[in-house]
Amino acid sequence: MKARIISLTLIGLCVLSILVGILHTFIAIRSHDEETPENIEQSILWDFSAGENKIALLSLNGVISSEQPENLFSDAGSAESLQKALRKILKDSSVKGVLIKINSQGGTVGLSQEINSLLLRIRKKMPVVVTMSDLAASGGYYIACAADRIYAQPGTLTGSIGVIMQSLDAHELLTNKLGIRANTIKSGKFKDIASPYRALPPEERALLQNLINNTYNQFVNAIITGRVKRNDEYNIARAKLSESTLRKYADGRVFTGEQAKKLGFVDELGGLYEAQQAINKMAKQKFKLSAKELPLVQYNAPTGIENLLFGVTESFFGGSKDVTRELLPAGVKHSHQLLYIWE
Amino acid sequence: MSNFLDNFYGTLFHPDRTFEGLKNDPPLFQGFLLVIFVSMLASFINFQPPGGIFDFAFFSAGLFFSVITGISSWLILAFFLEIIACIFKQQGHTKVFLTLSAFSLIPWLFLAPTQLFKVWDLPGTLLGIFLGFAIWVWVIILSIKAIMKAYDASFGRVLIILLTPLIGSSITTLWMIYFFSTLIRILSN
Repeated sequence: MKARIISLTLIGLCVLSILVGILHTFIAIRSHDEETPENIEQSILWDFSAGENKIALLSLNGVISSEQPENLFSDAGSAESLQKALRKILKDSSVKGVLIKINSQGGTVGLSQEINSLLLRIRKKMPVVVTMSDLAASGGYYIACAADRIYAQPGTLTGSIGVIMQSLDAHELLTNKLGIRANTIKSGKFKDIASPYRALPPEERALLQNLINNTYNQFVNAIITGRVKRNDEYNIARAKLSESTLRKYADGRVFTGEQAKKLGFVDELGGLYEAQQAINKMAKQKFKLSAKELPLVQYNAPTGIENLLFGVTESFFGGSKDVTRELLPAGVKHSHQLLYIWE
Repeated sequence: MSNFLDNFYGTLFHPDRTFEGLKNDPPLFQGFLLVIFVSMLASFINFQPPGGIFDFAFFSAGLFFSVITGISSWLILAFFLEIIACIFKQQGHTKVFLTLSAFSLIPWLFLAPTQLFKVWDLPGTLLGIFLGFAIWVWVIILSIKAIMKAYDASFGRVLIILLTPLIGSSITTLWMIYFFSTLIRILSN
């Protein structure tokens, strides 16, 4: 009899826990749907049943490019993963602020612009702060300028505002030294513009210069939108950048973090700690939160078991880094592409 | 029903004695119902409220698929063991093994309370993972006991029966991963 009672109790508990689990899922989804900035603190169920409020920590490392990452199993810190994470944040109502750590010399124009516009969209919903690591130049700065605040170390290298496009002129080597001639059949006279098989004629150079100028103006306008015309009410120190200063220094030169702060290209000197303090204050101000400190959650970098797994798998298969390709200048690796990059 | 409750209790707390009794008079239908119930459990644990008629249809289809997969796996394992048993001239115990292996799945039912730990964030999740692992070990031990009892096999022989295909398939899988990752690298360069 005792055995039967225990068996019935255990089965009953299992069935009951299934019902509680289903009920919990219903509550979680319902309270998540109804959540708005005004009623976060009033909802008792919210903290219990849905993801808690947090600051998303993202990182951007290396060249901004859509190229496949070296590691087959993880693309942590790449521009692609940053882009994916930003899209996810737009749908995640538990994220109350975005903190991005940038260590990049820039990269392709299209991807830099895509990330910039995603950040501007996020900025309308929540505060965005960028902290610059060793380098945040060109495309790296293009992305950073969409943030509400930029933090940099005194020795960080930033700036390099400009566009670059490179192509090889190998016609002398190929024709005179190796005796190789290219046969080109084309539909229009500019179809093989900047071809490595011949010298660049002035007409083509003017056309490409026009492209560069246009893309350069897009860069300057992005900084004007992101920083010069910036208008927020966050109670956090910010530097003022005037349009005239911007135009004067947007000639491709590189600044240290300290110089950039004086000119207004970054807001404050400091690192991840200072940036985290700032984003916390801004998030609390924006969403009227009373929590002491919002947790910082890594969004586009593997952590814990994931990191261990990816690390082990990578070392197991051996890194297949193409060393020769690593030595090439970015302009050659991304030949015929417009680049916001510091060479 | 009372007989089932006795078997339920016995499997959890006195598995050797209960499996001996089940071997002498295997209640296959009870085992069949247990397999269906355990198979449906995963669908209920991962339950998402249906947003419309299509979501409900998906959930129902998932539930049906889980049951079919559960029953198929149960039968395939029994078939596989029967083939191995044939090699060792021990065949003809399928009904006993089907019943015992179904009862050895009983600890899976405790995954239902375990899933509630997830509401307590990280510590709860870690505790849930730990308990889930303990349940998994429990089921493995009961399954080994079920095979030993059904085929009168020693522990060492059961280990050989179970581990040989596992090691073989693991080596094949690793070899395939290595081969295809190399191929992808070659093609992507």
